[in-house]
Amino acid sequence: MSPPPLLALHGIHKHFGPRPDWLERLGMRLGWLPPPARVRALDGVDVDIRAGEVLGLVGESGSGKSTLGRVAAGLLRPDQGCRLWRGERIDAGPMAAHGIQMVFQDPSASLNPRMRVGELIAEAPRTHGLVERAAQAEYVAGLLRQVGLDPGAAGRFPHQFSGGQRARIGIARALAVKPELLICDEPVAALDVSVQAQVLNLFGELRGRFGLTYLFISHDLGVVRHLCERVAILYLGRIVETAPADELFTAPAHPYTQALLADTPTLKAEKKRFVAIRGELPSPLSPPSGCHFHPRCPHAFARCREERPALREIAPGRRSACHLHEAAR
Amino acid sequence: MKPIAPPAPTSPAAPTTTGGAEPLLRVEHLSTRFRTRGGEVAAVDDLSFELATGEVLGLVGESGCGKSMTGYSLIDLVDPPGYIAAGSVRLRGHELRGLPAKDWQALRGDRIAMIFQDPMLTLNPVLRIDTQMVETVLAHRRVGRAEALARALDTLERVGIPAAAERLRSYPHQLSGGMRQRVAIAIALLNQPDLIIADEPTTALDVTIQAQILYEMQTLCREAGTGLIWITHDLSVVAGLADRLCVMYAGRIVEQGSTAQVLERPAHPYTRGLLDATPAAALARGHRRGEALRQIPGSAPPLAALPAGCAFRPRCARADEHCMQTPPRVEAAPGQTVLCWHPLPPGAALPGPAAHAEARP
Ligand SMILES: Nc1ncnc2c1ncn2[C@@H]1O[C@H](COP(=O)(O)OP(=O)(O)OP(=O)(O)O)[C@@H](O)[C@H]1O
Ligand SMILES: Nc1ncnc2c1ncn2[C@@H]1O[C@H](COP(=O)(O)OP(=O)(O)OP(=O)(O)O)[C@@H](O)[C@H]1O
Ligand code: SF4
Ligand code: SF4
Ligand SMILES: [Mg+2]
Ligand SMILES: [Mg+2]
Repeated sequence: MSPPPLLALHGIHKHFGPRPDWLERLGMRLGWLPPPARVRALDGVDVDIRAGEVLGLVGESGSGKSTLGRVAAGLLRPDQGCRLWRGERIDAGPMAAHGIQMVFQDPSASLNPRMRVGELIAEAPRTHGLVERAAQAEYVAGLLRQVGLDPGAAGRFPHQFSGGQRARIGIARALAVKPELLICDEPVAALDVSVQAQVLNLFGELRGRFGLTYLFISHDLGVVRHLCERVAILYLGRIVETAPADELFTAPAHPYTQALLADTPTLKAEKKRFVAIRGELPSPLSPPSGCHFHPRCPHAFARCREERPALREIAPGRRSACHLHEAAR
Repeated sequence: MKPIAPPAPTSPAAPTTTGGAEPLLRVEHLSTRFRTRGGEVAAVDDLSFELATGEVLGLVGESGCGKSMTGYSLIDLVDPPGYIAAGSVRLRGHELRGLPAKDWQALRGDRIAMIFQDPMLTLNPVLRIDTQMVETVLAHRRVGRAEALARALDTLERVGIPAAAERLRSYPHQLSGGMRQRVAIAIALLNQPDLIIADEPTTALDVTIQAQILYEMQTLCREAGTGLIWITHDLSVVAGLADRLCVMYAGRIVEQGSTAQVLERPAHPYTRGLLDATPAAALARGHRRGEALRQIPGSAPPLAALPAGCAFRPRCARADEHCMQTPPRVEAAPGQTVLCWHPLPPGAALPGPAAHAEARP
């Protein structure tokens, strides 16, 4: 029997109350808009993260990637569903206790600007008793070297660093409590291409050095293909496909994955003939009935409007949520 | 899809008596500078390029290299402490630099339009879409309200907005982000300008919507002959769209050529490094997962502390003592120029990651 996954999420539901933007607030105040409905950010999600793998989580804006990452990290309590760490149920709570750490897209937002880099990195390991005060400086210097920064950086403040260097500081901080699982929420999205390559390489190196497992959230398919062994595709709060990366990129099974791959720009210098898409993007406030993708799906048929397709195995190691797979059987 | 009726030429920049060889836009030695406490910096430094009717020019480079500032400089929207220090911008042979403010107002939104990354820079949150669009037409055209409304409807349909008549009666907040951006694009197209400057308008959008907008812009340039400058940090966005590319680094165009030349036979070490650093390039080289990407060491220097000579020097594997002097602009191939002492020979490979030093602060 294979060992249980490092982290398994079962039947996760997460709904949010209204969070209108300023325009919507204005609209509601002037009576143009009804109060907003609840957002179904996660609508019954099952994911396994296997020890040692890099699992990519892909989806368009608002599909629920960050919400899933935060639930996985234990930062957010799901409305329904549970988390299993090596097969044992755990509740939401301090991440470090479960060997999970999170790396965020915008390190400046998660790094207190008034604390020196050394204090920022040492904060969590000190509270968890991982390092003595006397050994702190040496511990921090070691971490800074691991992420390719000069140990002298410890005495400076976050704003004195470039974007790529701040990303490294965020990573050093996550590594400080010796996690087994790193949940990376768009960690390179804010970086320039040339710096992005440096940070991606760092993720690769650290993985080998510490035997880390990653949940790597990104909307950039090129980055995901480069880094991830397995990929899960999220569409409006539901996983529509999971597959080994090589198979997903060469032979996507779900119609949404197929559309996503077809629209992804490439570096080929030939004038591309873009094609118009059908329909409007649905909102997570009022997701379509049945299969969430049906208004945009070229293969949709009557059943798709009524019945939610289950995420089921379509080949060894591959799962997809589409009625077509059943019809084909 | 109907083409928009050609507008009456009423603008001050309407073509005068120019020869047929004059391009739609000719920019020469454009420089935009900022007065800062630490002295002056050049955000746009000696930029020259041309754009033909119906042509798409991609302006690419990393954050802070001066892409947006170039766009603002072309339409005279540089705010103090920035100022346009030198150069010439000619639209169909007509010099735009030094035009009085009222002529600029007549030009913007009419012959030249800019699409911003944030559509709310174009849209007024408290006005209905139809009001905003009709006003944009009436500001530049002597037509009736009904005709202006018809044109608004037509343009919304062109940018792929479903149920356009209904959408006309919405307020911006009632539209999704992607839809707002399409309305902002429609407003830019309303008066069928000769030139559109698009500053990363799809960066915040998902790939499917981005593909849709690229489709609309491509169709427009082909059918209406509009010249388009597409500003982006993402080479793959312009790869399938642009005819020509300009690559910027620290305020200067370091490489310029046809899209195929720049992407397939880059001659500037920076362009080459950028392309090599992408996961897509790694994949094309047949690399395996987990293998390191080729990386450019270090990061772009702040404008206030540019190294002497070539600004790319501290990051360049080919740098030598020549590079302490400002590099010349040389022709790497017909129609392809680079600002470099040692351009790459065609097809040359840069050393792999092992030869690059790891970046240090
Ligand atoms: N705290 C919250 N309160 C209300 N709604 C929320 C909250 N957090 C997320 N949402 C909503 O839940 C949905 C999913 O959001 P989430 O941030 O997980 O998406 P995402 O896939 O990470 O998107 P992006 O690519 O834009 O980061 C969105 O519609 C979002 O507006
Ligand atoms: N008010 C200012 N004072 C001094 N320098 C400025 C000012 N505004 C902009 N700059 C400088 O001008 C340069 C060019 O900025 P610009 O916005 O054109 O960059 P960009 O290429 O569009 O970058 P991005 O991709 O981040 O949008 C930047 O290096 C910036 O620091
Ligand atoms: S279930 Fe139906 S609508 Fe959904 S992806 Fe499959 S065919 Fe398309
Ligand atoms: S001029 Fe010298 S330093 Fe600059 S890009 Fe060319 S070779 Fe490199
Ligand atoms: Mg997110
Ligand atoms: Mg910009």
